[in-house]
Amino acid sequence: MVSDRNQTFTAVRRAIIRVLKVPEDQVLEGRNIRELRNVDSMALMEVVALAEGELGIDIDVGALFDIQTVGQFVDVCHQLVVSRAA
Amino acid sequence: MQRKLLLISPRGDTFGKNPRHQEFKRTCREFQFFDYTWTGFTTGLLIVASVTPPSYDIHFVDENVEPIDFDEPADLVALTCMTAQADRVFEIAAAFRARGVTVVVGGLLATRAPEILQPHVDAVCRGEAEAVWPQLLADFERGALKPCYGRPSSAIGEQFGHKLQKAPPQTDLTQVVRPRFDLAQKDFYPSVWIETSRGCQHRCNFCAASISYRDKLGYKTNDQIVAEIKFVQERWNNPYIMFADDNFAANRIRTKSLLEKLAPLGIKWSGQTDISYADDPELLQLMHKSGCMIMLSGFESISEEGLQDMDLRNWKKKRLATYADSIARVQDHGVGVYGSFTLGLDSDTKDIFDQTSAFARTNMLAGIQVSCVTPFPGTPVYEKMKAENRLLPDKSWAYYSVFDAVFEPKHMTPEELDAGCLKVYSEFYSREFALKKTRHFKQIYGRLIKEKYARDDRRDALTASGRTMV
Repeated sequence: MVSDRNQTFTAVRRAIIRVLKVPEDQVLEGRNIRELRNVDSMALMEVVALAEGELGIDIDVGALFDIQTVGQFVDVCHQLVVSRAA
Repeated sequence: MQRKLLLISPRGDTFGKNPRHQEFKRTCREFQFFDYTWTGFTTGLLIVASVTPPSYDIHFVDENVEPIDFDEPADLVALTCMTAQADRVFEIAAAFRARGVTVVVGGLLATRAPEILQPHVDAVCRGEAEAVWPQLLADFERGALKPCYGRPSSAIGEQFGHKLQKAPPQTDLTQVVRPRFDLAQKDFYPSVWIETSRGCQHRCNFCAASISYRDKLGYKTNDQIVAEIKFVQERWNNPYIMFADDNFAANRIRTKSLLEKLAPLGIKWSGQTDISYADDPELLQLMHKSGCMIMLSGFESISEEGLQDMDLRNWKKKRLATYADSIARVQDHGVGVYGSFTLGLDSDTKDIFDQTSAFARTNMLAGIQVSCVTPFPGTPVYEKMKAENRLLPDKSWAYYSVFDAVFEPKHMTPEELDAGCLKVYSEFYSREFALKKTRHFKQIYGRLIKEKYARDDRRDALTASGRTMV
C-alpha cells in the first residue's frame, strides 16, 4: 500500500493514462481533469474505480464533485490512503 | 486549371433559441460535461472533399469554430445544411453570390426539401454526395450547372402509401475513399465523427436523417474503418471517436466482427443505435472490450399511445415493455445508455414531462436528450402539421433545432412544451441526481474491475486488452 503522496500521484496518473489513453506528459497536477482528452462522465468513473482498485480505497463520489484538477483528485485519494494506513 | 473550392459548415445554435434553454446550457455544469464529448465537425463536407478532383484547391471552414472570410477568393462555395442552419445559409449564400461566386448546397434539408433552399443558391444537391458531386462539378466546369442534382430515397413515399418512386442508385460504401479529415482544424474538437455504415431500417415518421439518403443500409469494410480510425488517431492524438451511423449495431454479425478489430486500437468511442443490441450479451461484452463508453438510443416516448405508428412496423412500441431491462443489461456491461426522447406528441399531455423525468432517473440513464417534436420539412410530421395549420408562423428555420417548440401541440401550449422539456433536463442534470448516477456507475465499474482482477489473477493484465481497465 502506498503512503507517500508521490506514490499516490503515480498510481492515479497510471489509472488516468490507462483509461483515457492520454500521454503521460498531459497528466499534470494542475491540469483540469474534465479537460483531459477522452474524458466524459463514464470515463471519469472508470478512472475513479481503477484508482480505488489500485490504491485499495473507497472514494465517496460526493467528494469528487468540487474537484477541478488532477492534483486535487490525488489529494482526495491520498487522504484516504493515509487514513487507511493509520 | 486550378480552381478554389470553399466548403462551409454554417453556424448553428445548438440547444435552440429559447433563452431559458441557453441559460441552462451556460450554467449547468453536469450538462456541459456530458454534452462536451458529443460535439465535433460535420463529416459530410469532408466526404464531398474526398470526391473532389485534385484540380481543386479546397478550404474547409467550420463556422462553429472560426469565422468565415467573406472576401476569401473562391470559384465555388459548397454549404451543408440542417434545417436550423437554413437562415444562416441564406445569408452566407447571398454574400458570396453578390461577389459573383457560385454557391451550392447539400445535406439533410437540401435532400428533403430543396424548394426551401433553391431560391437562395445556384444548385441544390440531394442524396449522397458520392452520387451527385462529380456530375455537379463537371457541369460547373462547363458553365452548365443545373438547379438540382440527385434525389432522396423512396422511403418516404412508401411510408405514406404514395406511389413509389424508383430508388436512386445507392453508394457502395465499400468503394468510398476516406473523408478528407486532413482539412479539419487540429484543435477545437473533443471528438471526431466517423461513419461505418449509412441508413436505418426503421422508418420513424419524424426522422429527417436516417431515411433521407438510402433505403437499404450500406457498410464500409472493417479494413476501411480501421484505416480511418488510425488516420484520425494520428492526426488528433487519439481522440474520442463518435460513430456517426444512424443505427450502428443494426447488423449484429457485422458489428461483432468490427468490434473485434476495434479492440486492439485502444480507442474510446460512442455511437447511436436502436436498443435491440441489449439482447445480445456477446455484443455487449465486445462493445465494452473495444472501448464503448456510451450508446445513444432513441426511445422517443415512454407512452404506448405516443409510440403508436411512430415507425413503419411499430417496432418501438413493441420494445417499450423491454426498455427498463434493456437499459439495465447494457449498463451492467459498463456501457452507459444515452436516452433520446421526443416530447409533445399528439397523445402527450403535460404529465409526460414528469413521467419521462422519472423514467430517466429511475433507470439511471447515463444521459438524456429531450427534444420537442420537430416537424422537419420533407417529413410526414411536417406535412401533417402543415395540413392541420399547426405550424407557428413566427418561427423561422433557426427554431427548428429540436429544442424549440415550433408548432401547436394538442394538449399543451408551445410555451408549456418548451418549459416541460427544460424541466426534464433540469431534474436529470441536477447535482442531486448526478451524485446518485455517479455512485451507480462507480459500483458497476468497481464490480467489473474485480471480475477482471479475478480472471487475470494479476493487475498488469489490465494493459492487455483494448479496454485496458476491464
